[in-house]
Order: sequence, then structure tokens, then C-alpha cells
Amino acid sequence: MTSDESITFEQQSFLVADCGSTNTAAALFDVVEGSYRLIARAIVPTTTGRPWFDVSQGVRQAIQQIVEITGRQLFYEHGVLITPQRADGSGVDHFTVVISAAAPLETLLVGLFEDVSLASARRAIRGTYAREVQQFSLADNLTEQERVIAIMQNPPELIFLVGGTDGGADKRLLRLVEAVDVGLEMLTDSHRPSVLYAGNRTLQQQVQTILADKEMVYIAANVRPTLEIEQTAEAAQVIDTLYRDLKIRTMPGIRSLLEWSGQSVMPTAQAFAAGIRYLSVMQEGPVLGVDLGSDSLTLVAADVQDVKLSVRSDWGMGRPLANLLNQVEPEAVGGWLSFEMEAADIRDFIVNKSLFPQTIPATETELLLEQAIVREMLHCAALETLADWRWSALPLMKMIVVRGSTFANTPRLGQVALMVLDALQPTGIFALALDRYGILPGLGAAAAQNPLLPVQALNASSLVHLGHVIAPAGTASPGRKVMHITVESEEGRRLLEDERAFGTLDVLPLETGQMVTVTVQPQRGFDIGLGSGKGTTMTFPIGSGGLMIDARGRPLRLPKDEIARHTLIRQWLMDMGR
Amino acid sequence: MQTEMTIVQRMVQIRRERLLPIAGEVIAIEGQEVSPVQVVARTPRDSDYQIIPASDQLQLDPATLTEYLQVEPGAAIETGTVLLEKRGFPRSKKLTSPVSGLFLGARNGRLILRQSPEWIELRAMFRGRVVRIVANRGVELEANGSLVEAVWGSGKEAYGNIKLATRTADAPLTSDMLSSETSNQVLVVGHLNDAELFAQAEKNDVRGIVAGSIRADLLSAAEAAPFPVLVTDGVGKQRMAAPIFQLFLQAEKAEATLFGQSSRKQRPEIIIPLSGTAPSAPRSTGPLAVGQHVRVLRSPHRNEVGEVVRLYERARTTAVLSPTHGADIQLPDGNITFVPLVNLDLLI
Repeated sequence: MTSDESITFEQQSFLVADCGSTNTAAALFDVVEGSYRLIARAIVPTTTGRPWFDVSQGVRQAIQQIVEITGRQLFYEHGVLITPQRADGSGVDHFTVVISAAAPLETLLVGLFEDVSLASARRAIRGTYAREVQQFSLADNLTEQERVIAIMQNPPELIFLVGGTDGGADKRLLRLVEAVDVGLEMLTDSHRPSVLYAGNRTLQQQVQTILADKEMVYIAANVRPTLEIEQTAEAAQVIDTLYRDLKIRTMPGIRSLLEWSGQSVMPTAQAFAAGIRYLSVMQEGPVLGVDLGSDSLTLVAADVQDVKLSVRSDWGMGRPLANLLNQVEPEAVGGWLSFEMEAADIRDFIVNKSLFPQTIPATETELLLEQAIVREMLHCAALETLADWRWSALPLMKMIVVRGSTFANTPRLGQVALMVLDALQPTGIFALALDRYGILPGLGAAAAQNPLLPVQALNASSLVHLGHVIAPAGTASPGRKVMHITVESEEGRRLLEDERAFGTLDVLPLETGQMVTVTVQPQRGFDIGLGSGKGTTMTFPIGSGGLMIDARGRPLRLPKDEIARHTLIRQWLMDMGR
Repeated sequence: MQTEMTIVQRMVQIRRERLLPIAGEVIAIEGQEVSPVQVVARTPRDSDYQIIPASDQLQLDPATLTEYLQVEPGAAIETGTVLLEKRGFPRSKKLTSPVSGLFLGARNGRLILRQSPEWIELRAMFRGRVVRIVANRGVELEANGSLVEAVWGSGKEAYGNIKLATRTADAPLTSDMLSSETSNQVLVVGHLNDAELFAQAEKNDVRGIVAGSIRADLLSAAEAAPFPVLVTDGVGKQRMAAPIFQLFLQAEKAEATLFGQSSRKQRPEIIIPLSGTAPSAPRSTGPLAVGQHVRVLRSPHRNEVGEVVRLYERARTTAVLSPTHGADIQLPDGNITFVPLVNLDLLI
């Protein structure tokens, strides 16, 4: 048997690249002592903009940094990636790419009613990187001529037609389709958008007849077959395929990445969802993932049965950041600060950051301001997403994982934890983790080739485990007892027995990695997910941030008095290790 | 590692495409010297289309509409031309054209007309020479002169002579600076902090404003102004970077063109054609190097321009304890400070 034949499926090496809109990361995984480990990781600016206009340049630069870190040769002399791995240890067996650097698919929504079909259409486009540029509806007050001219003047990349419940015979939808057809007719082929119809099934044939001479017309199941039922999956699948075909596959430089990979390139959001799904299987419970990118914000909730995904191309810490000012006043951001700042200065800062998305804070004031922005944006996005998912509140999670350069560049892990606790206000007993190395989407995508990779790499501390949090739901007056806590070591030694009063937040400074058994007994009126006043005992390892006990109650209430609020927020920062 | 970069060039060869938004007719010819006002291409305006819901108006089946057409697709029509007629008893049905122009055809029960075109005329906008024709779309122009890239633009374009309304790089535009003397001028100012001045500038026929910075809540007013507003350095209260202000100071009274549009590939920019020879436009300069001039993009030295004096191979810790790659920058006051690479903007 040759040495090549001895290589088993489990031992193959993986190089994963993640091309974000601001940064491109590459990570090398290989088997060490029988298990997959993160060998090296590099991050460089993304090269989709000038002077390169070539996404592969950033990937090459990141891989070259890995070559320099590891000394492992990954390129042939002519600059092509060495695959598969050679006997001398150079090259890699698999190369996987995930991308969020492509611009979102610009989409015109056409439907009948804002609260029905259009709301469902909006949820469908949130399955991938798409951006609503305009909508036509019965309530838009536009004339037919204005609709036609709007399509001609600003042709979208996708026209998404929805409306009507199955079996109805609403001619108003057909009139909208006819207007769209007239607009399409006036465009040259190169500017003509794709069309997706996911409305009243009864009208499908008539819609196809109206658009008969148009290419790129797709039909999907009605997103709203009845008023009570929503089914967006099929339409979302078509939109995702269009995003891959129209946006990813047309990116300058993508061809060489496809050749190296031999696989299709997966959008980062889908890959992140796959990674979160793996984590939920490993955790044997629901996991929430938050990817706060520069040009998008992705939320994923996964358990063994189901994965929910929401991609918001209108949110993000980069260019879309200025959109936050369309949702909230600057004072709402200022409400998360531990110091006074003029609303005008907050507004200026937000717009400036959107102009220079790659920049990072270099002063304490700007660091805390960016963290305040994260809290407000994530809070708003979470509220909208929970409504999209038809959840009245965030359900109990076994783990919450966050990623994105804003979190990864946060100097203190306690600050990351506090941003998540403030913004999402989760309850129960759960673990917090940070994908500091930006590898989770790559692992999710590579799992298709080797499912052992994500399982072993994630078990091997590729994520930064911030620690477990105990956060009961409920409210009371400050100082009232919320719960009784006992912490014991693996050997049964009592490490702590104490009570926590309402309004407190603290971290128990236990040794990282130590297994502990925690018994929590909430008071009546407080709930850690088992019912009011019902307690539990759990065993888990202590994360880098210790054991966090958040007795501030839910929903979180901040004092209206400015000085009191500043003092409290400053105290929370201190409690979490600033 | 490469950083952001901004072109601030006193004398450089500039090539820019001037293209129609949709296909049209190119008027200029290769090699032609053009002035800013010269039309290089034109196309009919989109908004001059008329969509007539003929089936609805005459109660006709859309499928049979073409049987009653009185004009052929592509035919010239006048106001009152009979487009469609169905003879019958007790009365005939007839539809006449509300406009003069072209009858384009019938679709889905609608008649599509294009009015006698008012043309979108694409002007050269800066003095230069046509070096390439882009079929049906426009031209590529070449000129020598100054080029300054901005960070924000209001979307419009215009040209005029440069006038430094403020004599310092941080002073705001004020009401007393606007008068008949600013008519047809491109005003260069340190800062914009008063939305009402846009209306006053319009009254005084200001052609455009270039500001170092602008208050964020003025951006909508700037976009609504009938002239372009370009911001060179950022939002908030900050001075115009010294090299940029100096360039405008030296170019005072010269003709400048402001392009306020921006996209992922193109930033807003100011072009000042000048006579004389010039090197080609700067391109990628490779990784940041010692001796290069950079603008700092974040506090505490935001908008100061300094020189790279040392680059670090390994990540260093910033004042907020984040490890990051960066460089030592010598600031104008002589102090040397460590700045993350991502917070630097290379001026080329």
C-alpha cells in the first residue's frame, strides 16, 4: 500500500476562505493527534474594490500569510493552489470558499397587500443577500405609467411578484403583472431583470402567458396560499439560486476560486446556518447564531428539527450602518452609553463609520460608542426577526454564538458578552461563544465534504467560549432576592453558595475549563425556563469569561435619569470586567 | 498590507468615461477637443413614454386590440392621430393620441407611445479630448490636471471656477460669504453646518460646493440642493485635510468639475483641467511603505495627515487594547503615534 492510499477520508486537510465585504479570512485545518485542529488563520482586506476588482487576490493574500505562518507550501510556482495535498505535506486536500462580498440582489417587490403577501415576500428575500429597492402594491398610489417608468429608469435585478391566496381570481394582480411586463418590454435584454412569480397558484398560467416571451421567468409556490399559511421556502430557494448565479458567479476573480475548489461557492449566510446547525446537534439543543457583518446582519436559530435564517442586507456595521438612523433616533444609541454625548455627534459618528467601514476604534469613547451602536442595531434587528419567525420572545437557547469583526476586535471578552446580553436579552441558562477566528461558516460549508471536520474542530476550542450565563426572566424591585445559587467543583467541593438580588450583574471568577455543577433555585416570579420558581442543576465547563449571573431581569429597564443610567451602565461594564 | 487610498494629485493624466444611462446617439468624434458645455451624446428621456390603457378605456378584449389599430408600430404620430378605432352600432369606439411622437406598439391591452423626444444631453463636463468612442453610450475623455477624490457626493455634477469661500481649512461656510460674487463659482469651504445656506447659495447661482466636512443631518438638504455638494474628508466637524486644501488654494479661479455620483467602483471627485504635461493616473501602489503620506481616519488624530515612519510586521496593541497591524505615523506637530492600518488612508 502506498502512502497516498493510506490517507483515509477522515485525515484530509482543509483550507477554507471567507470573503466578506470588508475582510477576507482563510483558515487551515488539519488532523493533529487524530483530530481536526485549526492550524493557522489569516485575515486581509477584501479585494473586490479598487485597485484590484478581483476577489481572488484577497484570498491569495490570506493564503500566502498562512504559508508564511506555517511554512507549508500551498501554491505552485505559477500561483495555483496545490490540491490535493502532496506526500511532502504541501498543498491541501480540499479548498472551500464562502462569500458575502457580492452586492445584494436588488429586488423589486410587487404584490397586493402590505401586511399579507408583501410581508411574506419580504421574509422570503431575507433567506439570502437581497435588498428591497422598491415595492409596488395596491396602496402605493402610483399610476401604471409611473410603475412602468420606475422599472425602466431603475431596473432591479429581480422582480418578485406575489399576491392573492390560492384559488382566488383577483384580476388586480394580473394588472400589476401586465404593467411589469410593459416595463420589461421597454428594457434591453442586458438590463432585463429576472422575474419570480410566487403568487396565487390559480393565476400561474395567466402570468406565464403574459410573460411568455421573457427569459429568466421563474415560478415558485405561492408564498401565501391562504391568509393563515405562509410558505416562503420554495421562493427563497429560487432567490438564493439567483443570488449565486447573478451575483457570486459574476464576481471578478471568482473563476479561479471555483477552479481551486471544484465546488460551487456557498453564500456565507447559508454556510453560517449550516455551522450553527452542527453546533445545535453537538449541543443537543437550540443554538442562536448572530453574524454582524459589515454589509449584512444574519441571524440563525437552529435545533435538530429546524433551521431559521434571516439575512438583512439593510443592516450592518459598514455601509448600511447609516440605515440605523432611519429606524431609531441617535438618542436611542446614546441610551446605551455610560457618558454624555450629543445626539448630533452620535449621528455624525454613525454616518462617518458607514463611509469608512473598515476602520476600528482607537479611543475608549469610540469603542464604547460602537458597542452602543451594536446593542441598538442588534436589539432592533432581533425584534424584527423574532416577529418574522413568529416568536413573541427569544426562546430558551442552549448556546448563543456571535461573529463579525466588531465582536472579534472587541478587546475584552466581557464586553462581547455584555453587548449580547443587553441587545438580545436572552433568558435561561446558556453558553455564550465567539467565533473570533471567523471560521464557523467555512466549517459549515466544508462539512459537506467531511462532517467530522466541524465536529472535531469546534470541539477543539476553535470557538472562544465566553462562559455560561444564568439569566432568569422576571422583574421585581431592586434588591429583592431573585435566586439562590450553589456552585460545586467536579469533586463535590462547594465553591460558592450565595443569593443574587434583582438588578445585579456579576461574574464568578472560576478557573477557565473547570467543570462545575451549578444549582439554581429562582424565587417565585422568576423563571430560568422551567416555570416560575422552578430550579435545576447543571454541569458544564467554565468559559474564558467565568460564570455570568445576570439578575437584571427581563425586559431590561434602564433608568430615565441620565446620571443614574450612566452610573448603572458604567457599573455593568465594571461587573463584566470592562 | 494595503490600506484605503485617496487620489489627491496636483497634475495627472485623467481619463473618464462619459456615458448615457441608456443606449443613445454619440455625437462627438474621436480626437475631438471638447469644452465642458459640449454635448457628446444624447438619448430620449425615459419619462416621455405614455402608457394608454386602451382595452379598459374602450372596453375591448386585450387579445383583439391589435385588430383595431390604425397605426403600425414604429409609426410617427401627432396629437389627435387616431390610434385605434372599432366601427360599430350605435356608435364607433375611437382612441386618439394625446401626444406627438412615436407609436411603439400594443401590449397587454395597453398602447405604448413615446413623445417627440426631449433629449437627455450628455455634456463633456470638463475640458479635454475624446480618446475613445463607446458605441451607443458615450465617450472616454482625457485631460491633464488636478484630481481629488471625495468621500461623499450629493449625486449631481457641475462645473465652475474655484473660489475659496473660507480662508482656513476648518472654517464653516457662513451667510456673509454668499453674494453675487459667488455666482457661477465652485465654493471650497472647510465645513458645512447650516442647511439654510443651500437655498441662499442657490439664489446666488453657486455652481457647487466642496467641503472638508458636513454635519450628518445636512446630508439630505445637500442632496436636495440643485447643485453638487462634495465632501472630501468626512462627516461631523473636521477640517479639510491640509494637502487637499492646499491644492484648492493653488487652483483658485481655475475651472473645476464636480462629479457627485458614487458607486462601489467610483468615488465622487473633483477634476481641474490644467495645461501642461502630466504622468499617468496613479494605480495600485502595493503595500504601505515608509515615507508615504497618509490621512488618519479615526480619533484621536482624525483627519491629520502624516508620514509613515515605521511599519510593524506583528500586530501591536492599540490604546483600547485591541491587537492590530499598524504603522507609526509622524504627525504635523512632530509627534509619532501608532495607528492601525485599517484606520489609514493613503494619499496618492
